[in-house]
Amino acid sequence: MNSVEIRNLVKTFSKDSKALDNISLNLEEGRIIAILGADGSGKTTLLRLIAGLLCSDSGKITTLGFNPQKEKDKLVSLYGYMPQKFGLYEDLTVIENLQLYAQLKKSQSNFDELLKFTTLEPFKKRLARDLSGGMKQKLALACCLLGEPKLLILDEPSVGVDPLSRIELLELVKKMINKNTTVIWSSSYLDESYNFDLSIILDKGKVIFQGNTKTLGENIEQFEKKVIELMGGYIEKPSIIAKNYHITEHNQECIVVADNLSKRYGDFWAVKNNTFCIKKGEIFGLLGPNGAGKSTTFKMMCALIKPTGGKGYIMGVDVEKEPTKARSYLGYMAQKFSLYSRLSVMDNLDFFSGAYGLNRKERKKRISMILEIFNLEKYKNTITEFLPLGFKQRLSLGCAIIHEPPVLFLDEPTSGVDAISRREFWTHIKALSRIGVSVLVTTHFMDEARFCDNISLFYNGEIIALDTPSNIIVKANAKDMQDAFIKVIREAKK
Amino acid sequence: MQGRLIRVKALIKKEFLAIFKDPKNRALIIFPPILQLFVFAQAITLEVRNIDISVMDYSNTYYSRELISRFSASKWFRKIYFPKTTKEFREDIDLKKSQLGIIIQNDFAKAINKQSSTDVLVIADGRQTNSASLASGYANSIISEYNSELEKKFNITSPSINVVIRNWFNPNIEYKWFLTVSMIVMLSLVLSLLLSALSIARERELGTFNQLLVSPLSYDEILFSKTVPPLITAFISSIIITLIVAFLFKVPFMGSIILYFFATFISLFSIIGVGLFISSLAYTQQQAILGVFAFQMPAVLLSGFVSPVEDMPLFFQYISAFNPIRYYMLIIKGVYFKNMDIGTVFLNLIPLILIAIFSLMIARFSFKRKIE
Repeated sequence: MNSVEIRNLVKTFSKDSKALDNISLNLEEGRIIAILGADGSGKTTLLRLIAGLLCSDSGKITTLGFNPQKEKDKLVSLYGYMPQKFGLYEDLTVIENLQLYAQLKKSQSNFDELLKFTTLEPFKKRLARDLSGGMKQKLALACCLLGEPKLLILDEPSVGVDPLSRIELLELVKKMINKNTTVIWSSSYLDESYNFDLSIILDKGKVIFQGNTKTLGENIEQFEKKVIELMGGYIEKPSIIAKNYHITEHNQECIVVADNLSKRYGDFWAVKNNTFCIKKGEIFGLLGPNGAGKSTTFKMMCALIKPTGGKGYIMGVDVEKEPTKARSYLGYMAQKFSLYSRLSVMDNLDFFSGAYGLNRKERKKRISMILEIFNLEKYKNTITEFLPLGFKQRLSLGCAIIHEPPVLFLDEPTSGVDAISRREFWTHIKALSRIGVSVLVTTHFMDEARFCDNISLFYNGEIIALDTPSNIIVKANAKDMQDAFIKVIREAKK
Repeated sequence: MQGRLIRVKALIKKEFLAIFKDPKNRALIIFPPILQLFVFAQAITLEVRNIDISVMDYSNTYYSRELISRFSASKWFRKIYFPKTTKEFREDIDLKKSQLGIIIQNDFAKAINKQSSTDVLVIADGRQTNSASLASGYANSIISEYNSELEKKFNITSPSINVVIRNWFNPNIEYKWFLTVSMIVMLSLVLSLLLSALSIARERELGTFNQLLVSPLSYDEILFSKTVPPLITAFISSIIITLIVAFLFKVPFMGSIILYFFATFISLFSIIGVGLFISSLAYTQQQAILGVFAFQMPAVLLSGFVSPVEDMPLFFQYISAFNPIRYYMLIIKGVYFKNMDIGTVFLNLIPLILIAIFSLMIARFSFKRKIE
């Protein structure tokens, strides 16, 4: 029997693009199904249509035997829906959130059991806003599970979460449901499909694959290649970025140095004695579970947080003492592409080139070059908000390198972006490293770790491994980076 | 140095774009202030007109009817009811059918003819303090006018002092004058405060602030660049509103234009200091707006707009010494209506400058501390 049946579903938001383009699916009862795809591929729209939160243009949906658009009132007590960003009431405590959702669903649930399974018992009285990301996730899931729904719809429950936590979250879901419950789990991490029996891959509103993803490839690399093929293929072109990029000559041995950096909040050490050296042209990856201290390290290196102890240097300049000078060597790409979304592409480039003190002549030259390198010419006057995600990422990188910095800091630069854009992005980064730009990068995509020259694996504020990716894999006796990550972290947990 | 100039220029340009690029934003900055100016100028008046009165005329003679006819002839009073019983009379006032009650005793005419004194009872509705005192004042003046006429008629010469009232600076007590000039201050206040309070909070909420901080822009450069665009925007807006008040509403401008705009500029600078301070504390735009409310309401109420600062309890007079709106209001009204002299203006500008420096310093401190 099918929990959800979809026939020829079409949904459009604006005239020129279809969010969902003629989709037909059967979601079998009692299965855990992954819906995968980049941001903007139509995942959320699909889930909202299934839940009856949106009306379709044409086509037919049956959810648990009901028409979600017309019989939503009968449906709501049968399913659990977890929206992106969890939908918790941040000003209420853990238990108050549960009570509220129980009342909304008119269910007489046993909170104790839920709290025990989610290990939230000790935090019952804590405000939701004060929970860590991982705990919020578990609470949102618990709220969703109230009333023992027949169908669980989880919209990106694992966004911004490391591979190990993703697996644990899935294990938690498996433990909490019975064998007839259907789970729909959306994600922008394509590699996550390895945890599921059944995956549906969406691209630009179309289903490009459904079935067991292991048929697509034994390892992540093969799998990604296959997905790119399904998306229409991508021919790797050499990046022209290097052609016109000049970095000032210098004879520093270590371009970026962290010397015993540490940060303490109260009794809690967010980062303990972090030491590394990034050489000219090196790509250095910071990997680790959430809350391991990656972001804190990152922020200390940019002088956004004052370290409790230790020093950071960029090009030999003390970051804390002369932040303005140190930052002038630095290109920074923040999580979620911090661009000015209301301004046009041109305005953004113009602003960032000015903020880095380029004079009018240089500015004009650099901007036209960035537009050329990243194929942004035709979007020049588009308001940034309306750019496709892949182009936002390109613009964000463009703004970060507009002043030809010898150092690049990238904070989860590829989250939510489709496979082709990610490929292209790394082509540029590799080209930059080849001409001598040093790169510090954090990521939750383990397959991206293979592009790094050196990796620092972080756990509980401490470095637990610092080596080349291949050495780390060999030492952990693992089959790939993801496997190695899970093994090393699990080892450290003991 | 040259780099600094380029950086500051780039950020100021971006701030202007952020304010004016969005058509919705643009419309919100231009139209509501002008609309509010027109609406408030027409709708709000402190004058009391159209008063209905209930009269119990126990006398019912020529003299009493003559007195009542003076009420009906005056421009302040509209309808006159004649309730039949005391109970009805009570109800008229209770149910706010009439705002004023007058009782004329049955020996009214007799007393006048005997040339002895008599009383007329005027009952005002104390639930509306302001209109009650104004209405009873009007009644008082009608009655005393009638009184002096009667004195003339009966040739009584009682010694009396006649009070002659002249209203300086606003000879006809036009409430519109008072109100529109106050509106210049109010509207400039709202605009400058909102623009500055939202500027840092918006970037924090959208996550662009960190991006700004990792650029070579220093704290002082950021703070400076965040001050200029709201200052210029609010300044131009206040020029436009002043022109409307002076030429469209024809409120005569008595003082020095240069002094007036110089004082406006300094006052706005001071308000923007407060706005940036609010912004430096807020993590989201919502918090910033709540902060604006928390400051704006008391600041306006204690500015002398509603009641003069001198009439406040001493404690609040001290508090209002830290209130930029108070000085702003004082200078603008002073220069506009009575050509306040340059010395007094500067004396009142000093606290404004101090407030600006102080608030910008704590703004800088608080957003630097947040980083560490």
